[in-house]
Amino acid sequence: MFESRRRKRRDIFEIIREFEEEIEREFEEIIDRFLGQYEAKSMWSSDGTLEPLIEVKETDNKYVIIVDLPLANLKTLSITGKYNTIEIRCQLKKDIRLDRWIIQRQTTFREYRKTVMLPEDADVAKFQVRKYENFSIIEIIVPKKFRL
Amino acid sequence: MEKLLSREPLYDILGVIMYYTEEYDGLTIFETKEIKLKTPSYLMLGLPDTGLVASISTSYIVDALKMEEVGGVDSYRYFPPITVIHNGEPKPPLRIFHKDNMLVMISEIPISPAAIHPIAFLIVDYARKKGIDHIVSPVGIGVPNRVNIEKPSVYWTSTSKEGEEIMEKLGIKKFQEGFIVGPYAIVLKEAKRKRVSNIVLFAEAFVEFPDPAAAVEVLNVLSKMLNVQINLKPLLEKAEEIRLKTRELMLSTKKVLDRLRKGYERQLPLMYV
Repeated sequence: MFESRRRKRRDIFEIIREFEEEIEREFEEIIDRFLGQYEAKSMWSSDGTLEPLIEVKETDNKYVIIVDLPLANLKTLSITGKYNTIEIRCQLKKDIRLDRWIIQRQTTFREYRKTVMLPEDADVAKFQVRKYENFSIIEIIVPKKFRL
Repeated sequence: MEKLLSREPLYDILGVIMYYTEEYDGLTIFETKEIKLKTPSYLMLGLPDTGLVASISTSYIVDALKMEEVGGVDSYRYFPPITVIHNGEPKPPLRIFHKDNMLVMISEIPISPAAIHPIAFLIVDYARKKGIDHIVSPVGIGVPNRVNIEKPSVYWTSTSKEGEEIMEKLGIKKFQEGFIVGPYAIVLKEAKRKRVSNIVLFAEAFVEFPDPAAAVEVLNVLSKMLNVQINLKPLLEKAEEIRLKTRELMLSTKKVLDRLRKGYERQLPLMYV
């Protein structure tokens, strides 16, 4: 008797779990329909520049921009802080051509370029750079402006 | 859930032979060639995830072992309306490759949140029907201090005793505590429920950037596990180029992962307290 009662209870939990999964799936499908399944974005430009992957993190007193620059020559790295933006430019170690890809077949890619907009409290004039040469990754640390 | 299972070769409207077709909750899985799997058989998953570890490692295996394309998965309901063209031929976004005792499933697109459950269920169901001995999931586990790690570590978990025995012999550490979020999490749960062996390999990886170095460590383990020689030198040499060429897939995968609350993976589970 106890066994059958336990089985019944398990069945109810199973039904609830399946119902929850179904609701979650329906909800995700609705979001997919409105937002698109995923944002497909091109990071190659016909002017020969590439957009690097970046990640911006915020702490209490600073912003940290992590930039992935594979195949970049970090000696040519140029970073400019102006208004509330940071502009990153860096040349590639070698030219890249992708002739089998007809959309960009006549383009030679030579440089990474990216402008990152930060909130108003970012003190972009005082940025610092840390390079991880073995990974071709850089970190740009931008302090927040001191507030009274 | 409607299902159509065919044992005899069929022809689709383009005249392509279909040896196996199955409709599964809005997804269609099909085989275009007859698959004779040797034992012990493995189904490796290459679904985009943290650091693209699975995508990079499985596409490298397919290339290095010259595996044959034998089928795919498509969906009008869950996939965007795209056709991938490779070597002049239209392909589905998720393809299946075969050689000897191995099947590899590779997706060219991130699995959208709504598609995760049906795809995971399809994978486990397909593995059962094919008599697969072990589903192998190479998973990237995001570590915030990845730039300070020269050689990423690999951990494992398994849903079966047989899987545990294989992994214990290799002498790598078991994944003890933590969350996994995304398609591999559902495959793991579903495999456990359906009593299918699923070996998950977790490699420390960048969360937001492609990580071929983590894929190399996974391939090192896979090569010992499957007893197959895989020359990893070309992958190491091309690592930066792979990172450059997979930026877009990484970006769209990351957006999907963010929607899946991937931050859970960095949290400590309650039971550890």
